[in-house]
Amino acid sequence: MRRRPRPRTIAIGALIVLLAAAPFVPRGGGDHGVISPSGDRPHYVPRAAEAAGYSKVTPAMKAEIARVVDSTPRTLPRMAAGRIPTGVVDGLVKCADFDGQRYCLGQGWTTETEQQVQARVAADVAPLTGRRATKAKKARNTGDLSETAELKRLARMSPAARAKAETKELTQAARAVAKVWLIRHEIQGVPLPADFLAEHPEARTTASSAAGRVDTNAVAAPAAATPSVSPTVLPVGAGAPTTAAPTTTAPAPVTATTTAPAAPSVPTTYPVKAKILKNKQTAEQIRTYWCGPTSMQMITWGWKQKDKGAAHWAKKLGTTTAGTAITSMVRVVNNSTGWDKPTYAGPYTVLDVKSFTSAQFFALMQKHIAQYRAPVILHPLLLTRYFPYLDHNGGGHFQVGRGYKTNKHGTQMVGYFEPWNQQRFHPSEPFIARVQWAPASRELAAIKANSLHNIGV
Amino acid sequence: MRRLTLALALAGALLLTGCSHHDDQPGQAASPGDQPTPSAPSTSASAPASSTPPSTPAASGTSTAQATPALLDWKPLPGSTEDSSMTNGSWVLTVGQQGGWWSLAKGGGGKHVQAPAGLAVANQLLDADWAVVVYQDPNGEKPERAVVTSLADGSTYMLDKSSPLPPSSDGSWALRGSTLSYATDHGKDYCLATADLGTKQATLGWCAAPQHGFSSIVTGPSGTAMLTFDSGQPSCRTVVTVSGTQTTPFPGVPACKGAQGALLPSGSVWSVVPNEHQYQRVHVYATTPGGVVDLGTGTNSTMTVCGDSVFWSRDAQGQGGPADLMRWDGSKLTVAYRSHAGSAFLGVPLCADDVLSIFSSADGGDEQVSAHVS
Repeated sequence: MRRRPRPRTIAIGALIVLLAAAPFVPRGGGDHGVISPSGDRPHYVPRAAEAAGYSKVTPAMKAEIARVVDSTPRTLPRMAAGRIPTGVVDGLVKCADFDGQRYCLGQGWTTETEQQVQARVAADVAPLTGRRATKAKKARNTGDLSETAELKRLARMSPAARAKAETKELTQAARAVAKVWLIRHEIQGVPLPADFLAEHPEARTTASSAAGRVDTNAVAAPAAATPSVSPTVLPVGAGAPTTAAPTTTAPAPVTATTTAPAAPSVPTTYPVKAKILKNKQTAEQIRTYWCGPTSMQMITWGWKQKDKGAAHWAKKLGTTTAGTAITSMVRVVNNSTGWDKPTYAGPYTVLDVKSFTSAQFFALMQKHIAQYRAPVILHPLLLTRYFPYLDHNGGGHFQVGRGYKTNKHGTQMVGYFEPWNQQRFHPSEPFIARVQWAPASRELAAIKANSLHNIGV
Repeated sequence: MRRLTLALALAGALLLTGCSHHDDQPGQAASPGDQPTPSAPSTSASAPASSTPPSTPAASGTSTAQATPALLDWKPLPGSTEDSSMTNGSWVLTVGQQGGWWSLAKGGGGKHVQAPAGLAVANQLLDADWAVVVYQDPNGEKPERAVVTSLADGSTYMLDKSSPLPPSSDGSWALRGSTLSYATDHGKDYCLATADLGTKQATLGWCAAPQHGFSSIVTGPSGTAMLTFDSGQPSCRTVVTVSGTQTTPFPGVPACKGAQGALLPSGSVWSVVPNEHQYQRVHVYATTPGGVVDLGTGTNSTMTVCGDSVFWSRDAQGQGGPADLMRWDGSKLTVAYRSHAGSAFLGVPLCADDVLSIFSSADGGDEQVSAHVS
């Protein structure tokens, strides 16, 4: 029988690992190697978690969910001729504060205030007359559910059904709060709350996990090696976080890693390129509005190694001719695959990336693909401006993010499965392969152009 | 109407033979639980225009052009960068982001004309004397229709299903002078038509074979080029010159790899897609009396002829660099526009008369500008 190593042995071993890893800690410079980025690139500091698991829904969270759900008027203003009154927007687009992060119904985790989100949605769904019509849903509807369609769907529900749906969405979001905090921290440089790991054991590593993880009890201290700060609490209605570490600061000093209570589980190095999912496990959408079901078909195919067909997923997603909601996409990934396991990406959730730079977006892709080994639900607006190889503009759309690389020209690329085969619906257009790579900057710009500007991670 | 359908047998065959790329061969990706494959760090931050795509056989005698800056005098276009604007130096034609409306006015602005119910603006075309706005059924079921506006007197008329050669439901458009090129359904055939906007006379041109189509019509002073293709997966794409009812493939273009072509008095410019899984990126060449010249990389479907030159967009070479608008005048390669630096890319350059309009996006800010090319 093997003897368990003593704590001193573990500590010495951890120190050796840290010293060995020190040369690979980012120091800025080029981004073609395996070094994590610095400067505008994410500011990595060691933490003791890989993908966070599901968070516990605390009494405070339950109270917040109840507050938000109860604030929905039982009777919404009538929608005449398809117009959505401001009262409907204000009544249905509401935000909850979970542990200092804000989640808005239908929108995802955001740094915008509730008022800002409501104002933006109101502008997006306003009728064309009397305003600029840039958001008119005139282009080919390739399948995401627009804000207008989502509000109409919610408004048609009975108050009880609506409350149930809102509770379900908010509960799902609350269970991903630790993961969101870690993304904010690692990708956007927001300091973690001092008591983060104490409050979120799901964000810690365990002794039985893979190399690089440590005993749960050893990481109860704050994860950030940089001086700890107060939580970046975002009370509903408050402004964007002001305590976020600027992403343009100098890289974390090498010594920072050595002060961590545990070996970093965030890779200080990423492969220069990585991809997941098999090229053969792709499909094209067979209905113009089925980008959601087809993306889900490919995501689940990659997990289950079995193709259940888009129709199966259209039913699971509640897809209609108006499209598929991104909140449904993350729900089905969580419920129907293991991509949400802590050993992969943890709970999928909807994340607003309006404030992300291209470098941060690329870093998120690196993290998701190389570390989580799980796909990303991309949510662009399918305009020729961003995808000029398409013959015509499309509408809101889903793609499956599954790779990243820096090409020989130094351009950061994201790899994705593209369900939209323009030739299927428009035979006068040439075929485009399902497996595609495009510059990360174009993909992010297309996502930001979508009025929802969010993704599923 | 003879339209392409998915010819499955042919498609399957082409899928096996035409999709041979190293980086994305089926079955090589990791499955859940597998680690992504690490690879050696890249050492090159950028590549010169001379880089040759490994999978694109270059014609013998290929030389390489080195780009030099020769920036045009760019001026901001009025309006939001969310909308697509182009100008001929006087009139500004703008289309709302998702084709919900358009406007046409001297100096910009103007009344928003809403697209008819169920239709969206799919194309905007402008020249010295004419403006054309194309409405399309996003589902591709109804025929397209074009609103033709005379800039001389403001009069308009519609090119639609009541016209002798009605537009197809879906196709490429081009305007040069008073000649409008577009796709038409002629009986069961899918054909290229040209219309003289002044006389309203339309002429039937080349018709595609069954299970074939065409797109990317590029017109210039030396003629019309376009891309023809079949229904394979991937499509076998051929860049051709159009003359009446005949087409002639561009010489020297690798079979089935074509992307776009354009004609100049001194020769032609053409692009190919080196990797079907990076359909966004093309490699551009020029055929000159002295041989084939390698013009470097570009962005697919951005080639246009304006004045005496061919222009195309090139995304940033390296994450921190600018995006460039490249120009080939038949003898030298220049950079006509350079964007702000950082995660930069350009839209499709739009030519009206001898004025080029371009949208650019970069960390330093988006902009939409125009410049005379001569």
